[in-house]
Amino acid sequence: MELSSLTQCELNTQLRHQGLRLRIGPFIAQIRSSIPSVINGIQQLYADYPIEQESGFADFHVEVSPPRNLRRWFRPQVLFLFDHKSPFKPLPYEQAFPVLEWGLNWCVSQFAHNYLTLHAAVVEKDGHTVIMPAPPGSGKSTLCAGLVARGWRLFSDELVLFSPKTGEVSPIPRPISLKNESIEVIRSFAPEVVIGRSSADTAKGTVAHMKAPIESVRQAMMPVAPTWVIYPRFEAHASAQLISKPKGAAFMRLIENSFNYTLLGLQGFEALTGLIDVCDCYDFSYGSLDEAIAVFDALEPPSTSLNICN
Amino acid sequence: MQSARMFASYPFNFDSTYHQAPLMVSKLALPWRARASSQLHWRSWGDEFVVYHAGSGDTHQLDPIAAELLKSLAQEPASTFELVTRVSVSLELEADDDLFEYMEKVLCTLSRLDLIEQS
Repeated sequence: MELSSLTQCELNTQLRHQGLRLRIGPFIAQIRSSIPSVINGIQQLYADYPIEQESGFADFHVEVSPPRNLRRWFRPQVLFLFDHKSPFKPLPYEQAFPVLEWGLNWCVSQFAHNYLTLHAAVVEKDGHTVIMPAPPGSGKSTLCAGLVARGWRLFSDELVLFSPKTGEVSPIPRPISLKNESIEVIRSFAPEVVIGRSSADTAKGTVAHMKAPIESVRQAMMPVAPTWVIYPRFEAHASAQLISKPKGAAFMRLIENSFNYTLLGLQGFEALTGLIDVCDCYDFSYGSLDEAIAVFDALEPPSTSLNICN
Repeated sequence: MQSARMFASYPFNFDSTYHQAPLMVSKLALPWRARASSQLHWRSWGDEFVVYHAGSGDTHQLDPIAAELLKSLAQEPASTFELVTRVSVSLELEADDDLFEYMEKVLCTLSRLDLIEQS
């Protein structure tokens, strides 16, 4: 059953009271909120997502609600609650929906230790996945949104879930977070995509979220082995340039992008080296989405020979 | 340091060098050993090496000389002189002053990283 099948009254009731149980890839998030922008954002951007029966297990129990003090009315704020406790300081009321998105990212990065989790975007096409680790401001999410708008399957714009057991990447498709100029860039690039309401003056500037394609949501339980690790960097007016990156250097940089490499210990080392073993690695600079997508569409899968030494 | 470089140019004959710089000779002759070598886990891609130390949780990227040096010490302790010989043979490098000087720097770095120690 998809969220869109709920009536407005049913959606409001579940969110305001017992919680809406939303399946997002391998996780079930039970979400509660009575804030209109959160309800509207969920209704618009999670319309195609499966919802679980009302009683049952949930991986994360979260809530976005006003604080129980004067800031409920005076210069109102919102809190993200996880298991009824707030791991973060309050943020302005107008940022309620981004707060939910950031909070869900936090839940996965803090608790999903059956995976090696990386801060990176992931897209897939024809059974081959590209992992794009990059710091904020590098154009990762914009590139991810552009690729998804041109037919690549969205796994995530923020989180890689790499299974040490299976060697596969699991999708966790959620709305793609766009910031500042990239909001209009994607609106112009792909007028058909759905972009939610903008929230201004966040720590990242103005933020809006692009709805994940329905095909990506429907394939959210289909993991795939990784194929490429590509470090993107946007440079205005630059021609697209893909440069092979030595695996050792790529590996060390991926550690920096990992949430739980250290926590996983030797398992983390073996998982991450295993990921690098099977991937071709590149640095990629681009100034045009069209050029960048052409480069990605032309990528050749790596050969199957490995060079492993214990 | 001049004396140390002279040593590397010749077969290691401690009798001929002992009187010139006894302190330097004795330090260079002290054996190095890898610390907790059983906790080292390796991966390599071509001439790039990474090693994970399960005891500390640290991960290091090493060049071929540093990797060969650490692997050699993990198998058997050795002095700086002996290590230069081992590495030059296994990597087919000339055991000259440059190699000696480079390996001293590598030994210093690996010691600072608590991967090796000198007794």
